Amino acid sequence: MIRRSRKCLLQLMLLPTLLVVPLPLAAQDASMLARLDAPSRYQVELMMDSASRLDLPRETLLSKALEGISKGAHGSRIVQVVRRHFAALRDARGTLGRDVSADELNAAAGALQSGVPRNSLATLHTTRKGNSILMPLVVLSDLVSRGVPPENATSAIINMSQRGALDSDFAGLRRGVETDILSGASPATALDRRTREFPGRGAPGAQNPVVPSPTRPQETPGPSR
Amino acid sequence: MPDDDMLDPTVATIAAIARRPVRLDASARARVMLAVDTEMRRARPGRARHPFGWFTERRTVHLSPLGGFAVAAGLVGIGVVVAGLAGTTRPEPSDTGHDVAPMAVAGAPVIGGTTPASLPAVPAGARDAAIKFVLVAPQASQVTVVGDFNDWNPAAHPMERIGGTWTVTVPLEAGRHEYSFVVDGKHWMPDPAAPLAPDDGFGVANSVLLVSRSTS
Repeated sequence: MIRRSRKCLLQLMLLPTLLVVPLPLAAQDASMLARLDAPSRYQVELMMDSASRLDLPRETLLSKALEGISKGAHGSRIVQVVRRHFAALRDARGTLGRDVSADELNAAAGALQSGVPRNSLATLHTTRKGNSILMPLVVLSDLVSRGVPPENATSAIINMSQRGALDSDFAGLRRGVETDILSGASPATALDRRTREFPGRGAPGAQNPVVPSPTRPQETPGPSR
Repeated sequence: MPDDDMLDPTVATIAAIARRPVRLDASARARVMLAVDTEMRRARPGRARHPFGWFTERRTVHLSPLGGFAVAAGLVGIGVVVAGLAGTTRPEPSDTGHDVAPMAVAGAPVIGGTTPASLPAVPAGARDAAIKFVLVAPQASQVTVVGDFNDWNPAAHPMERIGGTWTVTVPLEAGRHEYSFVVDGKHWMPDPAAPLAPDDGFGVANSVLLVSRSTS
């Protein structure tokens, strides 16, 4: 009897240890998605598993679902948003390849959802020549969110990138456009004005920048860096 | 065993006596157990005197392979949890050896004020940076910041009111973060001083914050 009581005591001592055993990722995700209805949760978890297999950031999909839950969105709406973002992540991966970070991939997916064409993403990636495309993509999505037509915003960002713009230049462009919009200018006009103000960096065309037609961004005669 | 009829009468008598049930008084069992216990205490005197003798005494624990695996996983889990807690509360040195930048403003006045120059990218100088979110909302009674860094939990980072300005400082990892402000528990609004994230379909756009690793 004494032995049995000691065994029980030992088991009780081990119990707290077992309780803190890290749960598998899926179980943790399931607990975080507990407020989602079962069918929607199942759909989200399926997409997250698919993202893992495709080397896409599953955390982003989980975050989208949690955002939807926190915003009180219906389960079907959350599934729709997560599915759309998953597709955008997959397209972004297919366009940019595997040499981009998860943050860049997320930003690229957001840009695609904003209406930026895939070939423009590839062009931007090429013109940055190994530099991060995170800031240009963040500014690009911001411009579109503020009402700049996607084709205008895309061509402006690519044009500035071709003329050697730094991250600080893109940030300045965003601030300038925002200021002009708040002052009453139309988003497209504000972007056009601010883009022309960028002189370029270390390139022959820097003194006389050329803003290409928004509909033909590929023909921009910007100098190479 | 042979039958008693086949035994010698003397042997049969002895056997019959031996088979009689022994009658013991009521305290015999207690006396025997006391004697056994006394003998055990004499053999291991330290255990009886030490109040934590059971814990300090050497003993052999028998575990099944599954039980051993569970214990090992538990120890690893404790290490992961402890490391995770330390990583979220203690700033790490940067790759270049510099300390964490003490604070960087991620938000800016919004309601009833002008929008100052924003800081879309916050040089952190380390993997974790203490980011100060600021919102001017004099009419609000409660403001929180939610984002991918706190799983969009409105209760995670309530902002403190100083006059009409609400602030909170949150340690963030380097990278791209989406966030939003929740005013009075129901009004979601982006930070007007930060870039907007693409509309993801939930109706209210988020803001984007970039926390960089380098100080350059």
